[in-house]
Parts: sequence; C-alpha cells; structure tokens
Amino acid sequence: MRIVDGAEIVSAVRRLFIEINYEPESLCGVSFADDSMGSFERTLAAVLQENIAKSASERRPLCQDCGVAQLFVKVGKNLSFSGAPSLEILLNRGVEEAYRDGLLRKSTVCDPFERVNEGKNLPAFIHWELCDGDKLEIYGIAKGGGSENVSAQKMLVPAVGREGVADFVFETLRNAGGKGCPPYFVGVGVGGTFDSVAALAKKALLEQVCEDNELLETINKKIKNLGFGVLGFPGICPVKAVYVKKAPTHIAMMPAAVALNCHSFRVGKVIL
Amino acid sequence: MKFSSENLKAGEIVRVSGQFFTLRDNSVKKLVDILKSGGKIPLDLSGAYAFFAAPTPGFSESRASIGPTTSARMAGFIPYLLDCGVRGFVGKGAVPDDAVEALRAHGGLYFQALGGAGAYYGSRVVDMRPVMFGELGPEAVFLVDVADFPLVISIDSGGGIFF
Repeated sequence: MRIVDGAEIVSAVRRLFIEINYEPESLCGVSFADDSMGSFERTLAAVLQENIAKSASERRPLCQDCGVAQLFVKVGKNLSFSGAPSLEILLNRGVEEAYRDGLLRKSTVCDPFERVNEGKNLPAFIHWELCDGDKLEIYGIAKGGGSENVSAQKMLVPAVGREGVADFVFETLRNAGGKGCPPYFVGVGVGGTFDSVAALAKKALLEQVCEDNELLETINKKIKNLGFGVLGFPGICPVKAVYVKKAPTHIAMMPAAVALNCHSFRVGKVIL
Repeated sequence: MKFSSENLKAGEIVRVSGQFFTLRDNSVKKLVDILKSGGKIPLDLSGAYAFFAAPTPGFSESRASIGPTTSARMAGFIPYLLDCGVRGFVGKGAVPDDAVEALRAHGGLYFQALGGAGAYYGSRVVDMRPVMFGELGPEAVFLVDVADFPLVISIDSGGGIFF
C-alpha cells in the first residue's frame, strides 16, 4: 500500500484550480480567429484572444465566473493517504484554498432554494472511479453557469443511430445560441444510463478524445450552419472542438448528453 | 457616460467610459423590493447605467475580472428600473419583448458585453467599490468605473434592435 501525504493532495488540487482559471493548458495554442470571418466577428474573436493573454500576463481570472469546482478522480486500489479521515475532505480543502488564495469568485450556493453563498465555493462536485494501481489521478474542470445551463441530456431510441445523436447535438447547440458564450468546446456522451451519460459527456471534455470518428463526422457536417458565430452574434464560428465518448448500454436505450463548454475552456489534470 | 461614437446604432461596437452599478439575480430583487416599499438607497438611479455582472475579488490587487451575465434572468425588472430613471443596461444575450417595449418607450439603451471576457474587461476597470448588499458576496451592488469598454449596441435610443 502506497501512502500519499494529505498535504500534498491539498496543494495539488489548490494549484490545479488556480492554474486552470488563469493559464489552462486546454487553451494553449487555441485561436478564435478564422480567415473566413467577417470584420464584426473578427473583432469579437480578437477580444477573446486578448482575454487569454490578459489573464496570463495580469493574473486575472479568465472569466469572472470561476465556476463550481468539478473533479473526476481515479483512485488506485493500492493507494492510501494521511492527513484526513477521507479523500473527499482533502479534495474539498484544496478547492477551498484555491478559490480563496487564487482570488477566484465563489459561486456555489448551499441550497437551491435559500441560495445563501457561504463564500467557500464548496462543496466540490466529485465523481469517483476505483482503478488498479497506486496512483491518484485528478481531473479538474472550472465551468461557469452559463454553459452548464445550456448543456442537455436526452434518452433517444436506438434506431436513431449516429444521425439521431448528431441531430440532438445540433438541436442543443441551436437552443444554446450565445447563452453559453461560444465558440463552444463540445463534449458528447453516448450510451450508459440516464445518470451516467451526462458525466460521460463531461469526461469527453476532460480527456479531449474522440471514441467514434463516424459520429464526429456526422456531427461536423450537421453543425456547419448553426446560424450564429462567436458569442452568438451573426457569424460563422460557434464551435471550436467536438469530443466524443461512448459506453455500453441497454438493448432498449440510447442515452445521449451534450456538455457545452464556453470559450474559456478550463480543464486540467494532476497525477500523484 | 462617454461613448466613442455620438450616433449609437444597434449592431455596432462602441467603446464606453464611465460608471455602472452592478446588479444580478439576488441583488436586483432586493433593490426593487426596497424601492417598491418606499425605502431609500445609496444610489442615484437617474441617468444611471446598470451592468448585469458579479466581479471576482482582487480589485485592490489589480487582479479582478468582471463580465456580463445573461440579461434575460433580470429582464423582468427592466421596466420598473426604467421608471426609476435608469438610462441603460449592459448584459449578455437577448431580452424578452416586454423589456424591449419598455426600453423603446423610454428611449433606453441596451448593450451586450462580450461574455466571458472577464480578464479583458477587468483590466479596464478604473475603480470598483461595493455600495449595497455586501453580504451577497459577488452579488453585492458595486459601483464600477470603467475606461474604454467595448460593448455591442443591442437596442438603441431610436428603438433599433440587434441581438
């Protein structure tokens, strides 16, 4: 059994969430400008590009909405830790310190009806996965309310196939319009169950992979003419990238989910 | 408020310098409740400009970010705020028909800021201080002085629309 120092876990999570809010690797080399854009859309894209530069050079959060902290954690079976009775406590402590020390906005309210903000951005929203080995793998995503609000899940029927899933992606993007701050990074999940498919779509964003090229091609063909561009204004470039993950499912089911992420694509990973 | 162009026309990008007060989900409701019950507020709404936004902390360290949130959630309050003298609003996305009509009736202005450009706009904030509802954290009402803010004119004083 390998024992990891709890303080090391807290500090890794703290660093991860600060870094993804300022200089995430997921935005490294990303360009929003496109040669075929008109001058209006080009002006908007240039501001978004400068936003990335300002965030890094002046250490201002990329977006004022620093999101709720979401973590996807893979825990090796041969790993243990010191410093707290549960791993959850350590991860939450790291998130709390990141949002406090990183001058990040705390947007979590503790009850959906009372909506009191306790100013800690807690709890972190954690997905767990147990795996072989003795490593701790932590994916973090800081995702704002705007793009989370326009993400969608639907139970399709198996007969619709890739065409039907691509139609659902198109419909979700069209309904979203500018509300979630495009150009979007799109995570598509297909298969699994009602509850797991939404997490699968988000994992597609985290891992930035494509597990079904035929679906990706079908989606790319359909979303050519969405009728809006950067930030939902008239234009041609509302989508930056599409990622796909799939999973086994029931003979009667075709769960699908579309996780839309805004242009401030803030994801990162740490392995301990 | 100073605009880079004298002729504000929907669909154009204008550079704006001056003062906004921030409002959003919780604070707009509280503010309007106070006004409707005849209470006094430490803000002069006459000719004022509202910004649907909630900043990050860190203004004193020159590290704050600020940007627009979706206006539609607060749009139900726009007609009342116009009656109270508010001249213009800055947010993100379209506003529903009744808000459009009220803006047209008052010759009010609606601008869209670029969503998610928090660091960019933050670097153009000259001053920022909370004036009401500090207990709401980021949702407090802040007075924000800005220089050279790029905004998209979405409803102009002649009633022209661009969403």
